[in-house]
Amino acid sequence: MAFVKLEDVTLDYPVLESKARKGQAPHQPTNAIGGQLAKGRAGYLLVRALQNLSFTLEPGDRLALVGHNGAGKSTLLRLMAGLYAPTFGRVTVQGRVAPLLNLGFGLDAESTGYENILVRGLYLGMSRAEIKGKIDSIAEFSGLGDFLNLPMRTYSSGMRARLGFAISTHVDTDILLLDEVVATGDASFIHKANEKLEGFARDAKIMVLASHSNKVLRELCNKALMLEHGKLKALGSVEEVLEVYKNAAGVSAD
Amino acid sequence: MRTSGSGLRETLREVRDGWRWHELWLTLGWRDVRLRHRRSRLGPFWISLSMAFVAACIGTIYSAIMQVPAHEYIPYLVTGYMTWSLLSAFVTDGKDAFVANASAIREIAVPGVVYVYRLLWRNVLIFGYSALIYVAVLLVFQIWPFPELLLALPAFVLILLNGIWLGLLLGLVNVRYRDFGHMIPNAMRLMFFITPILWYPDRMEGLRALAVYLNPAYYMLELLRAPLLGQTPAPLVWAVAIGLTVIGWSVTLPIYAYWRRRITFWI
Repeated sequence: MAFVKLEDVTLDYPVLESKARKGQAPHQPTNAIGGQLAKGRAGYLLVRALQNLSFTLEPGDRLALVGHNGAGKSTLLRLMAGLYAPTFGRVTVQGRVAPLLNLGFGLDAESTGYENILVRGLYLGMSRAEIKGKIDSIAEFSGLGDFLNLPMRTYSSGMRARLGFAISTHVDTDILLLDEVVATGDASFIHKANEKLEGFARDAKIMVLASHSNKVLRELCNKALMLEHGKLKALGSVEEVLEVYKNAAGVSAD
Repeated sequence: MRTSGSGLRETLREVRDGWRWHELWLTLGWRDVRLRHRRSRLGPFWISLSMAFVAACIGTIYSAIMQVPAHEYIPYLVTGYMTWSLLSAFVTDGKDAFVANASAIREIAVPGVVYVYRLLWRNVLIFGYSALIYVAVLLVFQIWPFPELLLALPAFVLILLNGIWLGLLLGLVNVRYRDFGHMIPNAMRLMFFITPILWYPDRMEGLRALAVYLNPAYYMLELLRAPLLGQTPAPLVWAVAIGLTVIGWSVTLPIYAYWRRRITFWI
């Protein structure tokens, strides 16, 4: 059974390019964006991207991640994807993970849509035979038709999103991690994605989606988590959390 | 599963598990070769063609400079040059093992060793295209390298084993210290001239011979060049090559095991 469990997770992120200015301790966050800065051992800046996070995701959970820019949403997704190891605490992820964090990744502009399905599929841990068996349904779901025979550079960002999403959701996966991806699609695609993701939930799988589009989050998720400066601010139903977010950010939720 | 620290055993498991991803790195390595020659008519055969130019031009000129007959010098040059290209690519591409795959490393938790296998495979393919000229040279100069040629197989395996640790170690260091990556190509250019590729090691006398006998590249080069020419590598060559493999792996394993989880942060 798939599950994701975070126990008191803190993640410090070293930024090698920038040394802290001499004799100046970085300020505590008065700024609205970003995580908390600290000075690392060698004088490098450390970003405390996540702090003391604890929560558990169970089969059927479709979690919305909300928070201001730099609140730690993408870092949290990468942590769950196994890309980052926590500085403190414990992360336990059971099940196969398919991340879709960056639309550009694994996609080569000069290669055709079909070639890109192969490469990205292999990266996601599928075998050639598996991809061959699924290529038709991936092509159909993407709705790109004959464009799949053209190089990717002819695609719009929405079309890339469709293709990336189609590949990632066709992997035999237990946990799907999405970062601001579905939002680039048009209405019909979001509808299609919604159906696919509902099927995901029915199969007792887990999805985590970070987005700034409340509409998309409301449609696709059944749970929400709000981060603020890397700390857990609210966890609950989508409406509750979006309400907290609205009040904190002082913007209307729509 | 992801929280337990970085053990040596975990690293060795990664090196082994990399083979399970063979469909990925075989595909990527082959695409690297193909894409590099995209839209050209000859495609990867440009690799063979440039080897042929080296054989023809440098071969004729340097056989005169070295005062060695062309039928002796050209096979020596071709085998040495293609072996050197393989070795130096393992170093210069090895340093980019992770840097060149930054976007993948930020996206998907594929074992790091997969990127090393990708670059090894790519360079093995390039070696294969150069080897077409090697076969042509054998035919033209009527050289029969058997049975010594069979020794090329264990030699090749040894070189690949060294390629893995080189990629892991140099790739890791370069992720953290990018200046290192700028130093390597300069160092390798120098190595090309102080390693007996264009010239014969026995021409060096006295202290100058140290450039040959203290040069690890010489032993790795000779390891493969000798069987390709139908000669048996000296026992010392085998000993040094095996020693380099053992030392390289024992230096790399603890370093890589300790730092590999940092790669995603540094990249």
